[in-house]
Amino acid sequence: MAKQKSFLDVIGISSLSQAKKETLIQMSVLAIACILSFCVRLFSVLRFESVIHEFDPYFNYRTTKHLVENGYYDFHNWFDDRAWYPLGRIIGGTIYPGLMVTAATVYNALNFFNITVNIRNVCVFLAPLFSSFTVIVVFLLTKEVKSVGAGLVAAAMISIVPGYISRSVAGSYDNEGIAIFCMLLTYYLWVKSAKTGSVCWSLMCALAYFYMVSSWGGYVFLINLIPLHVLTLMITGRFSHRTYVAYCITYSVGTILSMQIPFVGFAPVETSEHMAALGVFGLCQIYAFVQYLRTNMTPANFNILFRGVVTAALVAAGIGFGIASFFGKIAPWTGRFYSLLDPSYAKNNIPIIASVSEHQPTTWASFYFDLHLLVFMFPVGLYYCFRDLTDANIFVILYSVTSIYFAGVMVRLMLVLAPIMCIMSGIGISSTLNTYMKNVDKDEPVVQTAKSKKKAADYPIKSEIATVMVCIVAIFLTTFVFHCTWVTSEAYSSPSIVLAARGHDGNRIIFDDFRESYNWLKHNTPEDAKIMSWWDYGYQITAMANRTILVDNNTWNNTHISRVGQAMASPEEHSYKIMKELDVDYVLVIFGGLSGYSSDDINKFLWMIRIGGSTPEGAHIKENDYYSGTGEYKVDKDASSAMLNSLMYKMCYYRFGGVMTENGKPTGYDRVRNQEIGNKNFELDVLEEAYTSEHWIVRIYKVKDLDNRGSK
Amino acid sequence: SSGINAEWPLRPGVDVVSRLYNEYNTKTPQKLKIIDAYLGYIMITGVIQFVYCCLVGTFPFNSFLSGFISTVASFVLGVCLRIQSNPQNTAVFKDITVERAFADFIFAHCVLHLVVLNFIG
Repeated sequence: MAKQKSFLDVIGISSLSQAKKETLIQMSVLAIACILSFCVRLFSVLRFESVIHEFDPYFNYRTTKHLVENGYYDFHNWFDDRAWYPLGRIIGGTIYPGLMVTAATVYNALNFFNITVNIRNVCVFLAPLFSSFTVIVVFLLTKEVKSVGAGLVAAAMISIVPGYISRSVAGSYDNEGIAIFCMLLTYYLWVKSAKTGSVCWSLMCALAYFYMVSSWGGYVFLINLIPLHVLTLMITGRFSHRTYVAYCITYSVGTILSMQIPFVGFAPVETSEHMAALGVFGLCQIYAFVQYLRTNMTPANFNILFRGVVTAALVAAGIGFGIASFFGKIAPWTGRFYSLLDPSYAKNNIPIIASVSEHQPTTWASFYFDLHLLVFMFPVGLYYCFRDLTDANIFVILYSVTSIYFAGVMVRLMLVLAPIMCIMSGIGISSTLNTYMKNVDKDEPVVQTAKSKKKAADYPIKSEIATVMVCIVAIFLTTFVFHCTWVTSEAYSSPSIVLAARGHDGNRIIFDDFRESYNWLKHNTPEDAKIMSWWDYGYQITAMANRTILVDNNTWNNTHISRVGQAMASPEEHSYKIMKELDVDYVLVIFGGLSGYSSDDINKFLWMIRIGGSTPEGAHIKENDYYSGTGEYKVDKDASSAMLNSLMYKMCYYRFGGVMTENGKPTGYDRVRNQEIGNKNFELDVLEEAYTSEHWIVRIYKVKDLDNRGSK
Repeated sequence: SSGINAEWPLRPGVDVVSRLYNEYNTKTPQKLKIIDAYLGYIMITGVIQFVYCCLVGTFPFNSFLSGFISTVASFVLGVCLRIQSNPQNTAVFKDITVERAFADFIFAHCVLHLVVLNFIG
């Protein structure tokens, strides 16, 4: 009787030892998670094409092209005179170069092996590639904190969680794409060095911190979280030699490394955001020295010395910090970070920060939409972390609590919350499954005697309950997968530069107006033409049309943006003076009334008014003037005269009065505001229409020259 | 000894410090004393740089920072080497032999001085 060979015998798996089987399962789960994380981000490439999305990525793409074509020294010293006319922008000193250098390295490496990939494709696919690396790092981090099982669940979750996908789809070539990888790598190396106390791991952590600083401004979060962790360890009495070695090396080497980035400069020793790290560093030295003395002296002697020295040191430190702050040597918290601590600060004082949609507070719906199951499994993981407290567990607890607060203040920071949610949920799910899986196959319990009733954790129908619990967890995970895929497909895969809609007969209509108009600008305007538009479109115009612009998404000069806002909001004569002062040749507006595109300039007009009126030259612009008599924002015949005469209104609705947009509605019906426009037949005095795109989304006007012989 | 000694607050202080010094001399192994001497030297160079900066002003700031942070980081690395070579601490640092500690020390110094050279201008 020959033994039957099963499939597993044939491929040689059953003959492997237990350890090897486990390694095989780990490797395959990780490999599948990595491939999945890359593939799930490709929806927009499959539906449209391999194109860069949104606004900010276009600037990153332009700088990467410059780096690849001109080399690093040129890039480092680049002064851009085609943006922020007439001020220009020092690009070399005001960006985080990590993303561009990474993309250029990948591009050069591939071309070195004669795999000729276009730089645009490298940029488009860089974020999905790094999301695969993030999967691996999350696995390693969770493995350090809890166990391999938890690591695998966390890795699987981070590969599809929508909170992370939103900023790392293919085409979203932005800092966050690599910053999350760098952040988690730094955290992993920090946990490893705090656990082993080895100088080598701490040095790796400092180098990873340098990579993080080079890639995103959110590195401030790291340089405050790690000292907070060390402080917590001190307070809970867990501060050991290992922690001392880890923190001191990471901080000192990491700080001097971080100052190599020109944009960071001397900030680590001058600004308040970095003072906590410096303070904890000093505290570490004192604490370690005190511990050293304590081990070498009798308690009585030690107390005498201790009391004298500590009082003197505290008084000196307090006076020193007070003097430094008073004389302004230590800069106070900058606006963007201060608004995280006091969310109302930006709304009251800096309208530009308040107007960015990503800086608004997060709603509960956003939390559930971006995280789904993780919102519920997160407290479970937190409980399990508290149950077995170790140094590493304390770190993830601090990370999760602080990022929940920040994610609640600003929608954009959901991205920082997503990985820790995955880690905590991985711990929670893995621990839950561990508890119940071993009961699933239990034999029927024998007849209970008095003795066995005293045994702990024995309850009736153990195996059935365990099976039900495992099934519930399986159902949760399956719905999680469906939700994530649906969210990615519907909400986060639109390129923003190309729009699509369904026609009456179900066929797909593509709105490619943006690229159409930027290409028109590129081919039909002189090389040195200056384009005025609202700051949202600045990066796209410089990248695709290659023309000089006045203001762009960097928004570093509020006064200049305010001037543009005044030009848009004032009547034609006043605007003409401002436009001549700024040497404007063409004006570009986005208009959604014909196509139904709702993120157009008329909807943003209120922000232009607010920002325009926020500087002294815009004193004639008052927000209330632009509301109708009843105090509503209207464009029909109820609209105020300031509104009807503003340059923005005239540019958007020029010739629109004669267009039939919908059956059954009068001509000039604005499909976004759902109103018939108030002023239909008017002529433009200072502009002439240069170009209107196919669906009227982009409208370009040429500024008329001064009269030849003076006014009539 | 007289009744109320006016030097009472100082006498225990001086006693404590001298006892500490004696214990340090006798109990510390030779290797650690060498590292301590090195640490003392680093601290002196750091103090000299800081005093010079206070006298002369902070321009160019990057040079001052790179020199000063170089002393601070070298001091910290020396302390870490001392901690890791101390035979009392082997229970805290599993898997880290004295040789490994020294090799890490050298590697860290290579990276540190590369950065300092870049920053010193």
